[in-house]
Amino acid sequence: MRFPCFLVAPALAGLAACTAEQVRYEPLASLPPLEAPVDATLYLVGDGGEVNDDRAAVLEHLSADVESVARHGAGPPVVVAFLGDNIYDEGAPEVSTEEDVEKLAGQVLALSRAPNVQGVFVPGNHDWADGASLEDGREAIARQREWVERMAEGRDVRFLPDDGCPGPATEDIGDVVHLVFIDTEWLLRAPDARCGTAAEFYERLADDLRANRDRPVVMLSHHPLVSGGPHGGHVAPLDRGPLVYYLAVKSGVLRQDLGSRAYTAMRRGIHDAIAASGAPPLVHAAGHDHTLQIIRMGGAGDPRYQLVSGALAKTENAKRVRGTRFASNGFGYMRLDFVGTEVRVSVLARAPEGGPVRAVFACTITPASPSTECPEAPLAERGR
Amino acid sequence: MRSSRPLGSLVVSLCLLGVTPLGASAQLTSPCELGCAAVLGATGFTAATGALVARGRSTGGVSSVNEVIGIWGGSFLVFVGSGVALSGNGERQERAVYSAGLGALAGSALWLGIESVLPASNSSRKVAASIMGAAAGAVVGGIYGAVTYERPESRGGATFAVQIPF
Repeated sequence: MRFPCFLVAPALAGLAACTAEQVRYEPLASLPPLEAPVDATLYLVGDGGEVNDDRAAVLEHLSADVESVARHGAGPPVVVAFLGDNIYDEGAPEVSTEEDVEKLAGQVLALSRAPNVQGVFVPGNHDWADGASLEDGREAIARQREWVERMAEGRDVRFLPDDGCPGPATEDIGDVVHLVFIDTEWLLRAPDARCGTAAEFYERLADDLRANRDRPVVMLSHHPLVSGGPHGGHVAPLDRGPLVYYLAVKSGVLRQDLGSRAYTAMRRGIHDAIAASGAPPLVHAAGHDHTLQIIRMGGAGDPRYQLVSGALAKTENAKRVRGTRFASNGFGYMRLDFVGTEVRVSVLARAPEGGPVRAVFACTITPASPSTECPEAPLAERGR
Repeated sequence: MRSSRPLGSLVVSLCLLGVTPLGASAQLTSPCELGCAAVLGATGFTAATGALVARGRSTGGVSSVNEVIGIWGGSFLVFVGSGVALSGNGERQERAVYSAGLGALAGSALWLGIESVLPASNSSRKVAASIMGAAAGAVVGGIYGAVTYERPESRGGATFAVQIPF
């Protein structure tokens, strides 16, 4: 039998030509100044567990940005949330190399020692020793927590949830905002007798949301509930490898993709918990997809906005999906400034090809007024 | 399936009393050539991907690359190896391969149709159903094609053939 290469080559060339297009928006001219004093600032940074020049550039900008807000303790409270996959590829290993340590240390040391700055590391799937057993994963989580504590050196840095269980772990920034940290990788691996059942977690989550219905709530985890990136199923044939990968993503075979059974069950569980609480969070912040996306949700059982900020060290294309307000494949992070009754969301990024980190998008959300929306950025003429 | 015929060889098949066009053409040409090989490869790919999808959908999801390689690669080797193992009888092999191809198409359409009317369906489930249906159809079709094959003599077709390589 002769292999019919003459049939295969054109087909492969055709498939390779199909790549997931990055939606392109008109760039922001400049970040408008805030009209009132900031009550609190929350930074969202994700998927930074790889040492490279892009990460170094973004971390340098982040560090200066945090310092300018914190003003050596004279400024408002600042929380910097690292949204998981803090150490690629398999979290904190038992026998570590200098590079493993540097992957985490670069992020910890970017934080200011100012008393009003707090860093929080959230676990992601790679921190759970990606694909390893529950016990091995939990040991990797315990090691990373120890590393974070050891590297802190006078900084207020935590690892939440810190016990290899789903949480929710909560933190308040004064009376301004309530933060809810969730270990979603545990939820993808549940059940696990040591931490109770997933149903018990969803009950605790609903109780916490209900108890904090009178102030803005930001839920933080590694895995998003919706995404226009590859984990959301938005890939093209041969985009990230062989055709089998494409089919696996599209059919929800891979546990880490939003379409898989485990992930779908988790999304449904969170949705039901929010619906049961009757108090939807303002924002769900996550990483996982290496993109910067702001997506309006707002259905019953949904947070009002999904923010995906997983582009500290890696980038991928993001498509425009229902509710997208902005999406970028640049390296960067997001910043939420709580000002009176409003929250300003800013995206700060550098192009995938390099260049300076700068504000590329900003919009304002009013927590008390769901009808006031973050408008979508104007689309660029090309690349829609 | 004759996968690598020595260069310069010639097959001469002499058919006496060939009564069906299919039987005659099958003996005058090498049965599983380009088209047949392509169908075997494509159905092997489909069956292996179907096995992977079945595994992923029946559990919470596949979580490691090694698992993907093990399931997909193993299934592909078993399916294509089964097709190659039929090469002792080219006509039977060709029938089995094309039956697998037709079975894949029918299975895909059938499973997709069933999934489409289910209330809890979504796009991932439809793609998964389509791939798993194609895989199941390929296996069933391939087995059916191989098992229901009848030798030419039992059909009253060719009574004599000789192959002279040189």
